[in-house]
Amino acid sequence: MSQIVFSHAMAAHCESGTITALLNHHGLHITEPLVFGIAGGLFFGYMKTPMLPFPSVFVRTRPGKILDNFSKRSGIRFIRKRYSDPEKAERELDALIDQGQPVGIQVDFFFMDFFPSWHRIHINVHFLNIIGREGDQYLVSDSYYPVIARISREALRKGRFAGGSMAPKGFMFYPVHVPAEIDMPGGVKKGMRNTVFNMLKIPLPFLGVKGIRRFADKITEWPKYARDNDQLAHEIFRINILLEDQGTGGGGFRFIYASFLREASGILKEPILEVYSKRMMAIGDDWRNVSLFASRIAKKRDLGLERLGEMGNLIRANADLEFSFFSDLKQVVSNLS
Amino acid sequence: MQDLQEIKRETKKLILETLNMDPISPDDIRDDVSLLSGENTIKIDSIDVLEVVVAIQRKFNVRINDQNHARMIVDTVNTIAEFVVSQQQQGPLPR
Repeated sequence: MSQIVFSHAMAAHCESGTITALLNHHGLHITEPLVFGIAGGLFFGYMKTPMLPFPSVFVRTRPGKILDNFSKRSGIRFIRKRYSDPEKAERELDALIDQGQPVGIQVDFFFMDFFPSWHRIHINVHFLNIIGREGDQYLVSDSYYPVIARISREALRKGRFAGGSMAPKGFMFYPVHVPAEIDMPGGVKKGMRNTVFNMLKIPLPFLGVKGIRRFADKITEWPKYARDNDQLAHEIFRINILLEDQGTGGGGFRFIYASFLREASGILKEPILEVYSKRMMAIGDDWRNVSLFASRIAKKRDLGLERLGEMGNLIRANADLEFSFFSDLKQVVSNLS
Repeated sequence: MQDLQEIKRETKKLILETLNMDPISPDDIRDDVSLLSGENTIKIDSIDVLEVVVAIQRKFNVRINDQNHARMIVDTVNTIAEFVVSQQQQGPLPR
C-alpha cells in the first residue's frame, strides 16, 4: 500500500481547490480564493452557436486556465500530461504515487462513485488529487467530499477516459518547482488586471459584462429553442446549476472572488479592497437570487414571457452592478504601484 | 445564543414552511436521517437545497456560500443545527 500523508480539505471549486491542496502539500501556505483570484478565474460568457442546441452560460474561465494562469503568475512549475493510452496513464500515475507524489487529475464526476448517486452528474472537467493506492483501489482527496475516499481502479479509469467535449484524456498534473520567494502582491495585481480586462475590455458582445447583458436580453427568446415546456424548464433550471451547483462556490464564483479581494486587501495593504470585497459579496447574493428565481419558475413550469422578462431584468441589474464594480476596480488597480 | 434542540425545532418548521410541506408535522422529521436521500419523512431535491440555504441564512443570520458545503450542511436536521451553532459561536454577521 502507498499512502501519502496529505492534508485533506474541502473547497468551493474543484480546480482551484485541487491546486491549493497540492501546493499546501508542497509547503506553500496559500488559500483557494488567492489561487482563484491570481489566476483571474472569474468571468462571464453567453454562447449561442449552431453547434449548441441551446444557449449556454459560463461564469469562469475555461477549465485548466486556472492552473495555467496561476503557474505563470506565481512562477510555480507544474508537469502536465495527457494520454491516449489508459494503461500508460495508469502506470505513470501509480509510479508517481509510489514515489510519494500526490497527483492532480481531471475526471468525469459521474464516475466518482464515493459520492451518493443522487449527487453524481456527468461533468468531465472535475479535478481531484490521488494520494495513495492499495490493491485495486486508489485513495482520493476530492475537495467536494468531506473525507479521504477510495475508488476502484476501474471507476477511476472510466472517469479519466470519459468522452465528450473537453474530455479529460487522462490529464494529470503536479508541481515540480515551488520558488522560495513568490511575488504575491505582483500576482494579485496581475490577477485583478486580468479579470478587469476579461469583464470589461474583450471586444466581443457575448463575453464579460456585455455577455451578462446579452444573457438578460436573450432569455425571453429561449422558448423558441425548446421542443416543449419540459425542455425549457430543464434549461432554465440549468441556470441554477451553472451558478450554484457546478463547484462555483456559490453566486457564480462571486463569493470566492469576494474572499480573494479581502485577502488582496491585506497583501497589498489597500483597505479599499475590503470594501470591494463586500460589494462583490452583495453581487454574489444577487446572482443567487437569479438562481433561485430560475429554479422556482422552472419547478412550477411558470415559463411565460412575463416571467422570463422578470428574470432578464434581474440579470440586467447584475450587469449594471458588475459594470460599475469592475469600472471602479479598474481605477483602483491602475492606481496601484 | 439558542440551544441545539431549539434550533432543530426551528429548522424543521422552517424547512416545512419554506417548501410548503404544511400537512407534515415537524415532529415527523427525523434529526439524524438524510433529507436528500429519500429515507426521511420528507425528501428535498437539489432545487430545494438552495431554497433551504437561503431560508437558513435569513432565519439564523449565517452564511452558506458554497453549494458543495451546502449539501453537507443541509443533509440532516442535525448537520444544519450543528452548523448554525458553530456559526453563532463565531459571532453575528454584520447586517
